[in-house]
Amino acid sequence: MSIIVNLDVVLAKRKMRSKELAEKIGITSANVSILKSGKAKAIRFSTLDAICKILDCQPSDILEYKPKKE
Amino acid sequence: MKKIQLLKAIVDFIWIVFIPIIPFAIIAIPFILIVGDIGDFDIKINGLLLASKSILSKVLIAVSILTFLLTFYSLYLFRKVLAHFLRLKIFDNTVISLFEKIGNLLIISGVLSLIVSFVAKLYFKHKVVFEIGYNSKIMLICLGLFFMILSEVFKISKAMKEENDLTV
Repeated sequence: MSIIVNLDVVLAKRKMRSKELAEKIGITSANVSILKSGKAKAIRFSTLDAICKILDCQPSDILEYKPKKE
Repeated sequence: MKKIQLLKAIVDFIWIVFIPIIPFAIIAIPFILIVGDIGDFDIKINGLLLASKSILSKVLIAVSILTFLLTFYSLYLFRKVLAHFLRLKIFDNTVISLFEKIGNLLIISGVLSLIVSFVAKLYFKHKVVFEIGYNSKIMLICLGLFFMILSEVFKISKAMKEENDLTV
């Protein structure tokens, strides 16, 4: 997919662990790990809203579009 | 889930009832084709007595037994599907491939019995008969196609389930 998830970068900047984020936004650590690894097929607006609120960032900080080279 | 257990019980019962016939059916095909003289037996296919010693009647009987074996094998595969369902493995690759196999087997079996029935009536009764009814072979072909469609539906459902599971 051409959408890159930079959640690990933002987490590192905020010095926050995945488990802590999962607990704060009310999703499982497994789901955070799916999101971080880029395996996620979709993200709910409610989840994105919660992540942005907790990490004090914009959706564009987490998601990035990089076109694939063909 | 009680319905599936009932279905499994019925399918298991049919399976157990038919299992003693299978070795005889497997032995019968080469026996009829190579060694056997079926002239002494009263063998009927679709109500048509095949007492002739001709090669055609032997081939028709052998093909009929083969169709029975194919249908029986599809029943065995269906038992496997039901076992998967009972273990709650519903949208599984095995189930999808089993549905496809069952569909193929039923279609082959339906087409073969349709040919046997048509040829037998044409050769022994000198009639061209095309049956469409509840018991006709067309129903078997339709059932086979239904299983193949079910396999496609399960493929789509599996993709949707995966997408749903990977939505955060």
